[in-house]
Amino acid sequence: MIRLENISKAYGGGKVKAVDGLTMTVESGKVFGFLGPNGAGKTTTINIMTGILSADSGHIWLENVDLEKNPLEAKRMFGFVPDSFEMFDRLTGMEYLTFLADVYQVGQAERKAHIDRMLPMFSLEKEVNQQIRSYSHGMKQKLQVIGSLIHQPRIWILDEPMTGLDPASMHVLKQEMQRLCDDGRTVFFSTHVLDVAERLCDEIGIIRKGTLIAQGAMDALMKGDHSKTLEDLFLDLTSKEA
Amino acid sequence: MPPYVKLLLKTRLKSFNPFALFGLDKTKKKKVFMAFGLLLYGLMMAGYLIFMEYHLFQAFVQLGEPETMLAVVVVISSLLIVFLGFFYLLSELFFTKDLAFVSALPISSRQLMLAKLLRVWMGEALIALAMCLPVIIMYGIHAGKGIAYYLFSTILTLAIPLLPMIVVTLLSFVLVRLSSLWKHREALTMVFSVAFIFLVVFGQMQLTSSINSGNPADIMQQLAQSQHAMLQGMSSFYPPAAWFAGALMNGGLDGMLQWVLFAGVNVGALLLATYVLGGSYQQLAIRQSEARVRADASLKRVRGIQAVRTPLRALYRRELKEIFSSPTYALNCLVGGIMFPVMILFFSLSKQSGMSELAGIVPMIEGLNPILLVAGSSALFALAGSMNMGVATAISREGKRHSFYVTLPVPTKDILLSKLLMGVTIALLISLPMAIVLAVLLPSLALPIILGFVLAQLFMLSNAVIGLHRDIKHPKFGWKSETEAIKQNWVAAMSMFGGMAIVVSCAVVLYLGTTIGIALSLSYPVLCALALAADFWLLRRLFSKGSQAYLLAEAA
Repeated sequence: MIRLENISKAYGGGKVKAVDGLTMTVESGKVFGFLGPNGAGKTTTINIMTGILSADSGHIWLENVDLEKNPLEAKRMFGFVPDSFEMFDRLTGMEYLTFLADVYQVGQAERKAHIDRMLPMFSLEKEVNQQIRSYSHGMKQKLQVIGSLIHQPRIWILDEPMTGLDPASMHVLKQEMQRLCDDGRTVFFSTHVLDVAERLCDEIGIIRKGTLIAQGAMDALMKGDHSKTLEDLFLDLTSKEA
Repeated sequence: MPPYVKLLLKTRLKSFNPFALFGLDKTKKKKVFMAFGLLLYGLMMAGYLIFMEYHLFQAFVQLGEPETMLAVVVVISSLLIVFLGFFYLLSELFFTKDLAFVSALPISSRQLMLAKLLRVWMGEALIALAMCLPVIIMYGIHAGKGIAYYLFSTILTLAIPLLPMIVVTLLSFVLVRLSSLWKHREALTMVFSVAFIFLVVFGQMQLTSSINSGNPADIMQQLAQSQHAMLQGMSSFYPPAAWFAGALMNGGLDGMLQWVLFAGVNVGALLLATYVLGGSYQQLAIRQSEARVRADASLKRVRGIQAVRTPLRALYRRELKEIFSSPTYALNCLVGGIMFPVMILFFSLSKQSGMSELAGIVPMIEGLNPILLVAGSSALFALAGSMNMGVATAISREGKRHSFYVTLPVPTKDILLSKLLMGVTIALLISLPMAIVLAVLLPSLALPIILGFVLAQLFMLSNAVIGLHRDIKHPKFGWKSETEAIKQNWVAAMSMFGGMAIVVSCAVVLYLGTTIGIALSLSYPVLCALALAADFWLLRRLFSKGSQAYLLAEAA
């Protein structure tokens, strides 16, 4: 479960509000799509949720662990796929996965089982022993996905995970999201691909100018707005007061 | 060992691999060749260092104080680590790309800081070893020490960087806490870098002020004698240096106690700093990374409708702006514009005898052939103007944006011309202040200086065109950092040597001309005319063959 309470974050001496009083709860066993136009505050919110940025005010609980009070314990609760991969490029893929397994203190048998299962799923068996700097953007993305799940987290947070993935990998990723959800875990991802969100999400949240303007089950939101598709709903909500 | 510490040490070790330095795109043969070149360069530098240290050591032996050399080398290594390591440590602690990623991992703040400090230490320990080991060996041979001496001294040398690193860490924490300053941190980096270069130039001038020319042995002898009190005082100014010398010099319990004291203080400083500062490190580093976003978000200057420019002017402005907006590029391209005039001013004003020396030289110079004066000053300005890496890296600096440039609806000729104009502007910015300072200091020689300045542009242009053309043929698009783009670029180094080569070849031609009876008043104008013709030919070649090659170059 993810719980955000009155999260705010401003830049430029408070003049530019990236996130403004955001409060929401995502229950366990749900796939949650976090939507919004460019610059709406999606990545800032995710960065605050993962401890990359500190909020100016508010509280975050990840599986009832307070991120501010127990940051290390809270960080063990989630696996994170950031929107870019810009580090450790001299490591091989396997060294990167081993590093993450060490950080999360994953046992030998568990890490082997995970890697053996995930590498073929994403067709990375051959490349895993090559240096990451030789990887394409999509291959780096797949490696991040595999690494983020190495400790079987209760929460899976993904920032624009579909970017750069080929159709087969995108399919595998969606299946994994569903598997985790069926397993009673929480999947929280941001995306611009509304078709994917529409088919995959149990719930969505739409953010605009740092404020959550809608949250709830897809059907309920569409009924309330008399929209036929998520695209209609999204365009309708995000264009209001624009 | 904690996984993050292990990871950072491992990646640092990998970066020491000379074959890995040259990227994945190079063939094995090329990598071996380049690694061999690098090794040769390293050996040359080490040879020069050992040569200088040997002569200084001999000077101290003659003064009957060889042990002072041990303390001196520790102080010099520590100062080097403070100055050279400052930006590295600062960027490793607060500006690395992995900071955001590791912040989302369950790694404690202290572990993060310790890992980063140890990663920096690995590089700094190499500096300490390179600086100190030759002196340790010299002293060992001189004092007839046994194998245990070499073993314990080497271990102790590895601890030398720790204390200076902690000093830099404290300083960087203070600087980062001053968040208002960090809104302008790029400008601040520039100011610090330029100040550091001045400090080095000033220190070097002060140290050598009382030294007359001679062979290296004489120079070191004079340095040891003239700065004896200062060199001796170094160990009292920095007590660990005296402990280090004491540990190596004395045997028995006294030596061992000093060994433990030196090692203990250094390692203790690392652990204490990690304990005290480590708790707040991650928070501070994250806040720092936000400072830039805050600064960007608070930019309020809206200029309204921008002026309409031709594509060439727009490209030229962008090229110049790129140099000025990046501290790394600006430092490598423009610092000569400040450094050379200041060096001339230092030379003439800092030494009391300087003016009198200068005053003595002026009548002698005034008596020279005016054409020789023009040729000499043009050579000086051409050399100074070529000492920048702007134009010879203009294509490589495009990096992954190269494919974007190729898609622009602008003739390739204009793209290349904009880069060339940028290079010419930078060369002007470097040589013009120098010409002004010289003309003001030597008013009676103002005319030959001005003429020399104008004619120097002919030679600088040739070098710029050659540098740009070379970069088109051998672009290095796959860089990860701006430093890599501009500094670790052999085309840029070649271009700087090219400036020297042009000046030396012109001097040789003029000299040979005079030996066979061709007057300078004839040979120099002919040389300038030839340089002009060469400029035209090189430009035509650049715009024809260079344009084709530019379009064919592939971005990483």
